[in-house]
Amino acid sequence: MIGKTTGEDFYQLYQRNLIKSYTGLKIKFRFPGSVQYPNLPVRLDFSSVIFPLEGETFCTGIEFYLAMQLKCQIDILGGVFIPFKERALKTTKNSIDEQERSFIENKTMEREIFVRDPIFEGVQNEIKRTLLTEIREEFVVTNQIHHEDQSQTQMQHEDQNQIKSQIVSVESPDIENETKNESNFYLVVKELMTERIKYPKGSYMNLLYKFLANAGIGQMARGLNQKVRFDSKTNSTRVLPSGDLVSPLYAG
Amino acid sequence: MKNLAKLNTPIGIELSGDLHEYIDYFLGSYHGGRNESYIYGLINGSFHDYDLPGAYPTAMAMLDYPD
Repeated sequence: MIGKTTGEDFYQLYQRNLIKSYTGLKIKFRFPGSVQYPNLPVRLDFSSVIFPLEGETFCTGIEFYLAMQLKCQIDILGGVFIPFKERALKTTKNSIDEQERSFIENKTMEREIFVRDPIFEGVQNEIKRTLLTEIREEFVVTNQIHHEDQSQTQMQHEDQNQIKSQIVSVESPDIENETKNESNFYLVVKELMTERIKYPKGSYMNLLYKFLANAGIGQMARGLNQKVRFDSKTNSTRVLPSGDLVSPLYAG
Repeated sequence: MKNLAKLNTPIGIELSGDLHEYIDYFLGSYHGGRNESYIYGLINGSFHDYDLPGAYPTAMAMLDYPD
């Protein structure tokens, strides 16, 4: 449990560990006027969430981390910090087996990845560092739609192979020394994604495995907000009950 | 968590140990992400559409056991 403290003290204490934790905070915050798009949500009523420059709200550790990056002044009113389980095993790039390596390369090559925007590169690198291991890099897929002249588009296509080869050969020292996530969450997602890519994109089995992966995390949050939903079994509306897999810890 | 509603009862609070102290912070933090168009109207020129396909599986793969 976390008592009243300033956001700066809390941030200095945990820093990037906030990303690898289950954290729920109640905070008062104020963004500088220069921040154009604040990231902290404030609930107005049952159906509205706004993102104001200042207010009082609940947030997760990752939201808090991003707000601190935006130079937000935060007072923590209370909260909970539960770190991820520390693992003794360290992984290096060499420890990734051949199956995983080919899995990454195939997935990376079959997708069109454009890296041209510095902001986009920053976001991608941040996600990459967060995912920690090379195997999860392949899930970070990006679509960037360019509406440009045909001549520019042709130049892009010529550069694609170079960009792809750069992405495949990305090496980050941060990733090498981080611990590898071998939780059941990761293993389940890996298994589903491995099965999914065996089938052509858009095929029934491909979409089925995609649905299974999405439904998995959906089950963690089922019924958390106690909303009334349509139930096709009874052809009526009722409050959706939570299930065995539901946990606000994982869902948030 | 078979029945979340039963947690907010006198029996639920007593039987859940320390969970009732923690859970409000996590329930309060559960909300949808920010998703909007930052430019409106007719756009002359180029714009970027950022997307993260497989966002749910990606997020789930990042989860680990709580310590």
